[in-house]
Amino acid sequence: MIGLLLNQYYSVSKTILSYAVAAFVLVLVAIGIGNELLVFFAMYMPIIFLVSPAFEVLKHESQSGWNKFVLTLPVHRGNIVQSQYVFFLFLTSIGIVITVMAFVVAEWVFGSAMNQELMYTMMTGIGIAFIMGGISYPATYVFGTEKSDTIVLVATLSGVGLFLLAQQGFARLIEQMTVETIASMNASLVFNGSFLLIGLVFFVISYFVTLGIYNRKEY
Amino acid sequence: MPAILEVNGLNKSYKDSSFSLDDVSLTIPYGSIVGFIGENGAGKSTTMGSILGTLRVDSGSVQLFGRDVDHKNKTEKEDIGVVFDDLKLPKRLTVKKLNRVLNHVYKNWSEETFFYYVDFFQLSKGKAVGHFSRGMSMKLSVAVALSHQAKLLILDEATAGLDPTGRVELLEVLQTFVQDQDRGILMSSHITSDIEKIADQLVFIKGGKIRLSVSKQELLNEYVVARLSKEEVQQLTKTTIIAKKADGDHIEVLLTNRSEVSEGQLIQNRSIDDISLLLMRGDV
Repeated sequence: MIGLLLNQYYSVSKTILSYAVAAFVLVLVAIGIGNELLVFFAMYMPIIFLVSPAFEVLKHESQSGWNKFVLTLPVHRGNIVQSQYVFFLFLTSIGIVITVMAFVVAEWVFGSAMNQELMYTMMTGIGIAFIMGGISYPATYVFGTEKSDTIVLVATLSGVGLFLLAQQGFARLIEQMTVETIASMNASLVFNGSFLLIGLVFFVISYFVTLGIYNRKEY
Repeated sequence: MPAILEVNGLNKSYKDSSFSLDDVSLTIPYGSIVGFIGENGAGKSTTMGSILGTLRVDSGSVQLFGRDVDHKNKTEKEDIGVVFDDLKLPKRLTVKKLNRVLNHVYKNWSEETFFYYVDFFQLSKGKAVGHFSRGMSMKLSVAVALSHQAKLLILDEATAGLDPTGRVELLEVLQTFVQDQDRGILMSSHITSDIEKIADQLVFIKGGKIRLSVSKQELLNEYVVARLSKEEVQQLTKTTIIAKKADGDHIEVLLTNRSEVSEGQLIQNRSIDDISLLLMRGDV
C-alpha cells in the first residue's frame, strides 16, 4: 500500500505543489479583495483544486501501462483501489490545510478573516470533493481514462449541483419549521455538516462500487 | 520434482473478438528457458496475461511450484518477475524513485541487486523513466524483474528494441538466472535467433492453439524439413507430419522422423526461424 501511495505521489508531486501554491495565493487574493462571494468560494477552491491530481494519476497510470504492470505486483486488486481512495483523502487533507493556512495568514495580513460560518462552508467544500471522487473513480474505470477530463468536469458540476439542490431543499425545510426550532439549532452547522456526511457516505459507497468494477477488469 | 509452471487446458475468449485461446498447455521445468514462438496475435500475450491474472480465463488451470495459482495470493507474485513488450513503469519517476516505490511493494526487493543491474545496463539513475529509449526501458524492466528474487520470469518480447550488444548482455543475464536449476523463464520473442540461442524448450502457438511443444535439441537433431512432391507426401506416415506448406510444385514438410525421407530430400541447415515459418504459414 505504501509503495502504491508513493508511486501516486511521485507521479503528481509537481502538480500538487503548483496547485497548492496557486490555491494559497488565490485564497489570499480573494480575502484581500474582500468580496463576500469570493471569500465563500475561497473556502471551496483549494480542496477542489487539490483533489484533481488524484484523477491525473489514473491517466498517467493508464498511459504508462502501469495499470497493467501493477496487477503483476504482490498486491491485491483491493489494495490498488484502496490506495487510490486513500490518496484522494490525502489530497483532500492538503486542500484543507492550505485553506486554513491561507486564512491564518489572511488573519495576520488583513485582520479577522476566518469565522465559524466560513469553517462550516469548508465542510461543504469537502462534501463536494467527496462527490467528485465518488463519481470520478468508478466512472473512469467504466468509461476509460481517455474520457477522464469530461468525467471530472461532470463530477464537479454534479457536486456543485447537488449542493445547490440540497441548499434549496434545506431552505424549504427551514420554512416548515417553527421559529423556536430554528432558534434552537445551528442551521448552518446542520446543513453543512449534513452535506459533508452525505458526501462521505457517497464516497464510501463509491469505493465498494469501484472495487466491484475493478475486480472484473482485464488488462 | 514438479515443474515451476504448468499450464493445462487454458481457454480464453473475448466478447468483442473472434480470437480465443484453445486448450493451451505448456510446462516450464526447473532450470529451463522456454521459448514461446508465434506471430502477432497468435496468443502469446493472452497466454501470459492468463498466467499472470491480468486476464481472466474461461477454463483451465495454472500451477506454480506444483500448486494451483491463486491470483489473490500476494506471496506467489513475489516469485514472478514480469517484463512486458514495452515499458509499463510509471514514466514520471526516476530510477531512484522507482526503487523506493518497489522497495515498499516487494518483500524481497534488493536495492543492491537493482542498482547492480542499473549500473550493468548503464542506465541513468536520476533520469525520468519516460525519457528512456525503448532499449533502455526494456533493460530497466528486466532489472526490476531480476531484483526481487523471482523464481520465474515471464518475458513478453523482452529483447525487442535492444541493439545487438544489449541483446547479448540480456541473454547472458537470463542464462545466468537459470543456471542453478531452481528457476525458470518463459520468453516470447519475434527474434527467433534469441530464442534459438538460449531456450531449452520451444512452444509454437498459432491462432490461439499450441502447434508444437518440443525440446530445442529434439527439434534441431531429430526433426527434419524436407522438400517433397505431392505423391511423396502421400506416402509418409501421417503421424510424423507436423506441418506442411506448398512451395511451387513441391511441398515443404516438417517431420518428426528423419527415416521417412532420403538425404537428398532434406533441406539442410534450417533454423528455428525457418521451422517457425513453416509451422505458422503451413497446415497439418
